[in-house]
Amino acid sequence: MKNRLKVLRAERDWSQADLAGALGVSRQTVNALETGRYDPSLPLAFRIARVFSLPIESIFLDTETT
Amino acid sequence: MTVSRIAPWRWLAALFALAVGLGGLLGVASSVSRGASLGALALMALATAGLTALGVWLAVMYWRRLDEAAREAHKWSWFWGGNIALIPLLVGFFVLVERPEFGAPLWPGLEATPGNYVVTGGLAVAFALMAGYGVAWLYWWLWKSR
Repeated sequence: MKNRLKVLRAERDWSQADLAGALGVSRQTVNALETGRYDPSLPLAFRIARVFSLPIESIFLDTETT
Repeated sequence: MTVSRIAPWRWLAALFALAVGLGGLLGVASSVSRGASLGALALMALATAGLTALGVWLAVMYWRRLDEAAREAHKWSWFWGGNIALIPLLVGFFVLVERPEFGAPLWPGLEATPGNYVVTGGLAVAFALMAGYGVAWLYWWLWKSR
């Protein structure tokens, strides 16, 4: 599943470590999410949405409907 | 430092150190067990069981400290790395069964007894699985993409 994590992070001038700290995960997990190696669990997806103050659908792109 | 704040890699390092220590203990135990009394053997068994339980606890603490991507990497690696590693093993087993003239391999230093052949086979399986898991784990973190 594609996502806009890297773009959203860059807009706020956050490093991967900054975002990882905000989400309570490792920097490697943030990297894995941004490079598409891993899709987050629902709780983590909701945490990501809260951190960016955006709905989940605007962060993660449902490739099955596009 | 509270238990929950200890980094995952420290739990893994402790587990590895314990495994090395346990291996050493078992090595010493096996060398002295032939002349040991029943009480001494029971003591060695208790120590081994205790260290094994400690190892399980360390593994649980390590797993609890991992975040979800790291857990996914481990699970993916064990499944794919482990299964693919079985393929050369199965080929080897088939060759050994069908072509007995090749002779069964034996771990260096071991006497040619049935038990030691079983040990050699077990070590081959363990090393193959660990190698397969290691390659898969590296692949997941370095190259895998959807």
